[in-house]
Amino acid sequence: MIILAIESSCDETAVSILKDKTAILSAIVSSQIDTHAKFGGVVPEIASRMHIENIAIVLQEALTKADLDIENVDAFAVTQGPGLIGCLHVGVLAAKTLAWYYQKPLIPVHHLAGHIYANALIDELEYPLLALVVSGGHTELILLKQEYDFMIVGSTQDDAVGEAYDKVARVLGLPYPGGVAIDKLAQIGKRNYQLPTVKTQGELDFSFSGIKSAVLQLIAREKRANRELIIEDIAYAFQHNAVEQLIDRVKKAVDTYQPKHIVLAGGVAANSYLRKRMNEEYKNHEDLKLTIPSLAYCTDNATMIAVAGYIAYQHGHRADLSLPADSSLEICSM
Amino acid sequence: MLTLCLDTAHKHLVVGLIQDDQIIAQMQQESWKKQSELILPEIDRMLKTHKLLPNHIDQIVITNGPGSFTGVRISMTIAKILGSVAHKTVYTLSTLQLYAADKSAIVLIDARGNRAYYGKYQNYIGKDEIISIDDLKAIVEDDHLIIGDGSLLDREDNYPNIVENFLKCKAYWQKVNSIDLLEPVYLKENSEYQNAL
Ligand SMILES: [Zn+2]
Repeated sequence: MIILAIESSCDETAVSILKDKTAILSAIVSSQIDTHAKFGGVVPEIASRMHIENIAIVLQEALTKADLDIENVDAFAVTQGPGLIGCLHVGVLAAKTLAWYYQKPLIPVHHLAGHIYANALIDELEYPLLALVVSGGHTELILLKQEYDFMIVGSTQDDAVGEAYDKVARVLGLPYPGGVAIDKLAQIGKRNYQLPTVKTQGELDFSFSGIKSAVLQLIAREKRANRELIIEDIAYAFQHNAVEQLIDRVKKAVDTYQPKHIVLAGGVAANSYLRKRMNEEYKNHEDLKLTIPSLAYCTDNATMIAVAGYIAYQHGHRADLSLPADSSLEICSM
Repeated sequence: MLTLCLDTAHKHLVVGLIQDDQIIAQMQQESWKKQSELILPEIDRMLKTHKLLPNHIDQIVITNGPGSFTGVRISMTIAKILGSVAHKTVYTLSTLQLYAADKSAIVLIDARGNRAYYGKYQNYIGKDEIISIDDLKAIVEDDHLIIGDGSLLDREDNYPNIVENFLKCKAYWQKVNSIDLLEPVYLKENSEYQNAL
């Protein structure tokens, strides 16, 4: 079975063509990051404009790379949400147009289901599965008791972890995207400053909005004491604090739900310290498997939508031509 | 020669089928934000009613703006996909020119923020601009025919039969030579956006 998938929920226009579950025939991503970096973040209207400019080019390139006649595609998968509405519209309409014109099934995919199932490209997934989904827009612990059955068991009360990285990077005068810049600095930083541990209402929930003010307070304190700021040590302290909060919640969720498999997903899954800590905690566990996606599958791409789409299709998921883009789509509704 | 006509640049969803020089199906309905949900089911329904298949469509004509940014992108996404992978010929038309067609009129579409997309048209020809409602009041005289959002000037809204106008404007359809270069006409250019792009 050949699936063509489209992802346009944020600042990447992406098309992938996948044969069965794991054979990638082509994977094209047109990133807008250089444009948005000039604004220090994604500007929704600009992102929508770039999607409409790029969609047909990316689609053609994917077909050419795969050396495939579009008539041979068996189904079209698309990110229905969540994401920026104007961006989602372009991908959803493109997929609907293709499904209608070539009279093939249309498969709606939740963006986070895509991130989670990126792991199916490199590993056989086992259930119950616990996914830590971390990105600029999401911080969630999602439990899959069985294949393609999603339950959110923990989520952020305020900012997403990636958002906290961007905010702290701005405070430290680092370039966008903040996650990459902080990760680099933290690797040469030392354990020198201490930031307070965050408490949340639910024990599996997250909170990151307090870290930025804690960093600001730390900077003010050091200035008052006339001490020179060691910026890489601040990056270290922040990264350590944020990632240890993630690890703490994962441990609690593992205790509560006893999963057989744990996977990382989302843009922040590229973070070197998070990858290291997950490996320290869960690699070579006897009855708990750990999968961490390769760096290319942490950021947004359409291959992950194709894999999730393939599995969704096996479970009977289909959409008709009235499929709406949904900026706040819930994963439990899939 | 079967032509699919689409206009989603303003509040209506407009879908039409023109066989050679005759309209064989048309719909024009106020849909606002439902356009992207309704458009493909409507095209599909229209074709089925006439026992036609999607690949019977030979060419497609759309409005490329000005109008709602999201709205313009709806028809344009469909046109871009059909133009690139299905190799259909794509034509574009100004939304204001389409509204005016053969009439001598002032065409107005709400551009939000106390502004309007404005074109003074005569015999299919005019120039599209974005102007403030205050400037507009100074230009428009009582005996001017207004097409479009007349309510911006406390007149009646006045919308034409848009599919009929597509046909009337046929000589003015602009053929898109490179589908990859097709972009909406936004008019409301924010200088900040421009500097970034
Ligand atoms: Zn993502």
